[in-house]
Amino acid sequence: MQEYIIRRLLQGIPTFFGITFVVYAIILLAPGDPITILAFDPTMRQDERDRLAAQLGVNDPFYIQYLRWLVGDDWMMVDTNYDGEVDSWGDNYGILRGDFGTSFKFRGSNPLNLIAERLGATIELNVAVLLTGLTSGIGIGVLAAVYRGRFFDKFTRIFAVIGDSLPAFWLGLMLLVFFGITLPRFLIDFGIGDGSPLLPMGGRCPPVRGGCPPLFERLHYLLLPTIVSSVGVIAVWSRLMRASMLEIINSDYIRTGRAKGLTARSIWFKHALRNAILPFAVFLGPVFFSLLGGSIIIERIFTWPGVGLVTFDALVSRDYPVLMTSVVIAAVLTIFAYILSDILYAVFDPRVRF
Amino acid sequence: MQKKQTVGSLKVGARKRYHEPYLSMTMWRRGLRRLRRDRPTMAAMFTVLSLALISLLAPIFSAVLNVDPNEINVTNNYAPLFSEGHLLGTDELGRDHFSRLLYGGQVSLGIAFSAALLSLAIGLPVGVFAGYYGGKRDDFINWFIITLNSIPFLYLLAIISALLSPSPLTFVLILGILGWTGTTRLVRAESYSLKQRDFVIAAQALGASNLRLMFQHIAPNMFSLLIVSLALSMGGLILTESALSFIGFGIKAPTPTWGNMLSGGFDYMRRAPHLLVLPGMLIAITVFCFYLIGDGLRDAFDPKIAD
Repeated sequence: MQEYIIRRLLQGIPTFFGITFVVYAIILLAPGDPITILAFDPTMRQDERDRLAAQLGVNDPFYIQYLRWLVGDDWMMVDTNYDGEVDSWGDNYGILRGDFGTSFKFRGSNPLNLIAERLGATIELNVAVLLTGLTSGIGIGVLAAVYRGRFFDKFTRIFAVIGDSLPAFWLGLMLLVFFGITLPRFLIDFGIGDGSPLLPMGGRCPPVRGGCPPLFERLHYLLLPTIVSSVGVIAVWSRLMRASMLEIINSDYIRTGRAKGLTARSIWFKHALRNAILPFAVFLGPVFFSLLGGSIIIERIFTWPGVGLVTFDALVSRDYPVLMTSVVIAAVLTIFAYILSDILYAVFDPRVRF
Repeated sequence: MQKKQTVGSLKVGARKRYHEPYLSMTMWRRGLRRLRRDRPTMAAMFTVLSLALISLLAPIFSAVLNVDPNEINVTNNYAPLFSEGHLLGTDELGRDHFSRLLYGGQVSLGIAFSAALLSLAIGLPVGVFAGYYGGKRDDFINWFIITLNSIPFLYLLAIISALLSPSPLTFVLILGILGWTGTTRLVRAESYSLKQRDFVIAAQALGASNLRLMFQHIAPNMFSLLIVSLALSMGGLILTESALSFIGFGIKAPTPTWGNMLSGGFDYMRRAPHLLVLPGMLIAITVFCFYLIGDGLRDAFDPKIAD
């Protein structure tokens, strides 16, 4: 077992290098550079631009930049006063030694801190999505299996296909239009409300000084983003659960249970449900991990100040260090999620041997 | 109702007069027959085909209605639905919304179709290769796919298209070159199982070369699988295109696509909700239809399902 885990972790190493190399190459070889965006100031002289470029080191060939990003440059002489000659040791340690560089846009800040500040919001949203999505998805799937072929089953199946194919962001926008514009305008005619949106149209909490109030006082901010993101989760999990339940219910031990006279309720919800959930239980951790990268789209629609929004800003302003940091975090989490789900599967399923 | 006539594995439903030959039930004939009976799938196909056809005929519609998708008339912007001269109103620059939707359909559907074909053209040979040879080559391709998939797809796409600010053609290339991994996984598993079948072993015994085995014997037997994956991936690609446009990294205006019309409508949501609702509805309907078609085709050509 230990050997297996170690082997899987070792396999992740070349994957890590592959990902970072590919992304770095794409970022750097593509046309355009951060200087034109950072120095968006017509009065700036050319030598100032050059100096800025030299400070950020964006004019070096891409393999030099990649190496510097990876292992740092404190082992070689670099040009610190920008006169074209090397004069001092570098001061980057490289990502392998935990130095993620400094943000281009917010000079001097550590990209890790920028992302860590927003992590709370992303975790909050994802926990809400997982709780809603999984409980309703599993519930619907189980009931659809119990009432197979009946109205409830057919109805939820159609719902699942629709939920799968609805663009999440379109659903989000429709809800915004409905709760923000259509419904309030409609209610005005009946003398209810003043036409202002019924639900918060974005953000994570009311703008007060000193941070967000406790979660239970701002649940309505969570409502729309959670609904929009859970639709897909519900659609997928209800179908998975239904299939899994139907497979279990035809197995021998269920027949044995029926033969010895167990009630239908006990068979479905005690014996079948537990066994049907098991294969998916091991995915919970990985699913959560992979969601931590943040969803750019949902966070942009609802201006939810999470990791996805940081990435989006970094992408727009070509803040390479922040962008690379969030790519690395997302990639590492995904790699871990793959490995974790394999290991958990092996732990839970006695048929898997190493 | 069709009469049920079966002799062994032979279907004789097509025999009308006694001197006509028996028609054996081939995979295709059975699949198409099942498809014809599958109302939802047929309706979905009809919808998608008519959307495509109407989009292709966009120049004619524009000429008949005397509107131009790119003609700017700021004095007549945000015209509501069914206003005079503009069937579906106008957008923020006073351009005709109806003809923009049609031209946008050309671009969106065209991108989805070409990108799906391209990712199939890459994914099929790579998958057959990996599944057929196995071993080290398979491991390498697997590693490559896992590496590519470990980068969140939307991040990767957004990074690339943010940096390239693509035209429709480069957009197709980007989507195709990044999107082949799903097809490859399917094809790989299928060709691994096909290569152990008797007909492949027989061909091998007759001295067929590796290339011939891969592309004359194994690949054609995955045809139904490929059609299904094509339909599903077209739906997915339309979603991807619109999602990318929404975060601002898709095809740039003035070229209309459903995605960038939707994201354009987002900014004018209060003024003119129809600019947001209509393109989104077209996207949702198209994707829904493609998923239905994919499911329907899978059922129709699945040999394991009995009639």
